[in-house]
Amino acid sequence: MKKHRWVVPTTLLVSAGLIAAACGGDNKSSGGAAATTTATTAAATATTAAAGAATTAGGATTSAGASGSTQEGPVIPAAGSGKYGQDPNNKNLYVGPSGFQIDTTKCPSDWNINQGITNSEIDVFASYPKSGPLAGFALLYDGMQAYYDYVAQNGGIDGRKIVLTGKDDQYAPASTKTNSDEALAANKYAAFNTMLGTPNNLGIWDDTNRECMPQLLNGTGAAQWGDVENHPWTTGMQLDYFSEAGLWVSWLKQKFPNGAKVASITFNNDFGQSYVKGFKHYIQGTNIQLVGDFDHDPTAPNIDNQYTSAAATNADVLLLQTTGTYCTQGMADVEKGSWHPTVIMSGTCGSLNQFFQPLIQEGLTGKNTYLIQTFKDPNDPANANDPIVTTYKQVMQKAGLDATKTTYFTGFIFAWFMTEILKEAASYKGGLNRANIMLAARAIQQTNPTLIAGLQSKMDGLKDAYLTEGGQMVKYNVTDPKQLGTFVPDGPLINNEGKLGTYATVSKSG
Amino acid sequence: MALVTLTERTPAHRAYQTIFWVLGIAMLLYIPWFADKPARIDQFTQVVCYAVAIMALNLVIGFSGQISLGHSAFVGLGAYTTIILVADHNWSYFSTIPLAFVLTFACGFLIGLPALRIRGLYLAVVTLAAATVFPTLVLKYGDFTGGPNGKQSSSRLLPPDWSPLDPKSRFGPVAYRYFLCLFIGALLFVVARNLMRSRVGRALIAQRDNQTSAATSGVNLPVYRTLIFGLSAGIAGIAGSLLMIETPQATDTKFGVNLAIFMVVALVLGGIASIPGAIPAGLIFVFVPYYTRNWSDNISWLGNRPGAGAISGVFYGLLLIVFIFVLPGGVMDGIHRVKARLIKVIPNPVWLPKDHAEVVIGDEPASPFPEMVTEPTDSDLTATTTRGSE
Repeated sequence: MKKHRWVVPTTLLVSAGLIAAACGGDNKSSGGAAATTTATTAAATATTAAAGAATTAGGATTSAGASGSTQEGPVIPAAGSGKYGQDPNNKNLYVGPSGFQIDTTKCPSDWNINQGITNSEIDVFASYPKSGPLAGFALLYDGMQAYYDYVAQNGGIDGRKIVLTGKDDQYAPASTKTNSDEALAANKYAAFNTMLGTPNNLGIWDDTNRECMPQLLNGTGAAQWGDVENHPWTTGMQLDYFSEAGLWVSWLKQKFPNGAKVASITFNNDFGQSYVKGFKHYIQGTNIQLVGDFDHDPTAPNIDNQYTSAAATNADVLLLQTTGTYCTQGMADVEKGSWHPTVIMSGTCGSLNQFFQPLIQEGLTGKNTYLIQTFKDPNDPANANDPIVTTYKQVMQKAGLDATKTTYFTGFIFAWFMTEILKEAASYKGGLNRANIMLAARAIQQTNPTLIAGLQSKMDGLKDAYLTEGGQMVKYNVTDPKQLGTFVPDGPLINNEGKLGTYATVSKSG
Repeated sequence: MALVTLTERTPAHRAYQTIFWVLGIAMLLYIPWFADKPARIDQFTQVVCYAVAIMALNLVIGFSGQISLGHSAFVGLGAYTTIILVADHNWSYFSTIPLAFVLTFACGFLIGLPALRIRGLYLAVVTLAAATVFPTLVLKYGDFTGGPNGKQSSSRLLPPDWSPLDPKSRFGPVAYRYFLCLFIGALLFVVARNLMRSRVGRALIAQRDNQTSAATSGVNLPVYRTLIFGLSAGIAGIAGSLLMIETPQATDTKFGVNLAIFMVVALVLGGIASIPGAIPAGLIFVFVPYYTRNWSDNISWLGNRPGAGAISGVFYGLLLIVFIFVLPGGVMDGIHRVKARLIKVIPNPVWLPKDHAEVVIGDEPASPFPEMVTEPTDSDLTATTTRGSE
């Protein structure tokens, strides 16, 4: 027998492999990142991730209208407050709002506080799906870069331009980790700016916190991003599902002062279960009672069984804590059945075209369904004269992008917050550096014009680690059953801003 | 004509072998310094892990002739066993490996049972079911597995005190994990290689090529076929555990059907029915999708265009097709061809019977599946009798 015939191949191969890897070398990501060109290639409308991870804030329509802002000139965050920053007595200590501090001696010895920040540029990094089934989310980053370019044309961050470099991870946490590791090792980024996906962010947040890399405005609704005590360098952005359930409870208390029985149909994954946890947390001490929670599998063909069980409870309220086509099915079941509860649906199902249009074909409407809205819809005629919407449309037109794709607008939402953070940090003692960026991310307090008028979103150091906690309950109103209806506000704006606190509250409610 | 002609088991031949071994091992050990960046070292650790998984798959597909599209489930099961025990029950990474092996071995054995009755495409479908069901089960028992958020542990394996690697540096822990995975992986490769060269391996290959004649020669088909499925699953499970040592995070999407299919693809590209073939397969598995993603990001005429990244899938597919056309026998086939050009090893005439005719060996290497398609010719038989005399 030829005993050693594979020795040579092995060695040759290993060397070939090494050469191949070496040739790849550093990946110079395309400088100015994804922006400004024609949008014809994209198969673009971002679908709501069933996993509940990265849901876009756009997609919902409202007639709530009334643009609150009277701002003239460029729609960009105002100059920073200059309230926080480097401690005058200890140059390694950065003191932020409500007890939040950064001690830079706890960072790695070679940590560079000015990394990624020059006199002309601020380099930020994001890993997100550019290919694969969720590639539609890539538009979000094009929207972000478009807004950053707009900011740069209007003064930038003290003359600096924000440059977003993006790398593809196909929404696979393992690839996000590789991209993140490389970005951490590249020593050229000031911060991570909005990574998508709950597991993707969970997979890297130990690394970012160890390396003192600000991991800002995560694009997922998980409650973990409020863990300011253990992960001070990580923040979220959007209304988490836990808080959304809290808004429902606030609204139900007004709508049903004498108490209500509630049944729910829940998408059986982390996304759906977050609603259940939140709802149970917020109904404590109220006269609202959860009489039945019926789970459906992420792959269930329909939710008819769950609907039948829920109907058997004869509750006053039905919660559709699900997403995608299950929302449409749930609304159809209710409209066809004899049980007529008040239906509250996940805000992820706010897209009229995606989830309400199919009902019309069935001869149904989905009327009187309630849901929470937080951000403006640029497609809503009522918002047509809103400064942020007109700016958005101009910027999109200039960049050659299709403004009707609301995912771009979601990019604006994130980018506005990021710009505010950087402007704020630039005003702090010690100047624009990464420690001050982190303080600023915990001190967001300006009114983001993309929010529904009257809402605010704030961060407050160790006291409030959730950015978006308010919303408007809207009711789907139908006048012509053959046409799509509109959302009309029902009840006052619900602003739970600051009430959730930090992740410690959420984890205790287990 | 080959550049060098060596006679088997002469000092010259031994010297060549030793040089290649030493060089090969030195290269493997040098990788952390060569890769330099922690992210790149981690990728090489992934190469080791996936090479082990693909080698395991090769035992089933290449050596025993049963198609499995379900190995992602075994890798996933091993990974989840490790990560759940480490994250929720404070086990050490090492102590989870034997348990991961036992669990996946048992599962593989059970899935191997239907393989006794069905063959080919039908078996592929049955095993595909395992691959499809696994992520669903992970989601179904979310309290236990972490569901769609995945399960992660913040405790990572650090170099022990006696090692020269600094646990506080960025390089130390990453390099340590590479060496650890490399050591365990190498051990598994040696075990698999020896097993395939032993009676068991010959029995497996015999039943792969012709079940009836193997059974006639006394090969216990059911035992071999189920045991190899179990063993293969067990090794794949260890690969899963090693993956968790590399990155302690398991998610449902990481161990889905995609993994199963791409493992088979990588296996074919690396070289089927070849134990070392799993090494190029692992390199392909990790680096090809990585670089196609980066390339497509940087193509100027597509770059910075919304949705440009989607092209990477197309590149990856094209590359695989081209590869199959150029090197149908996989990378190992190519290496054998190159080797045959450079070095020719002829049997030592001392071992041949006195009346034996001159042995003629061509420049072309043997096909990995010669026996499956062609009937043995007279010359093949002669070669077998003469060369099996050691």
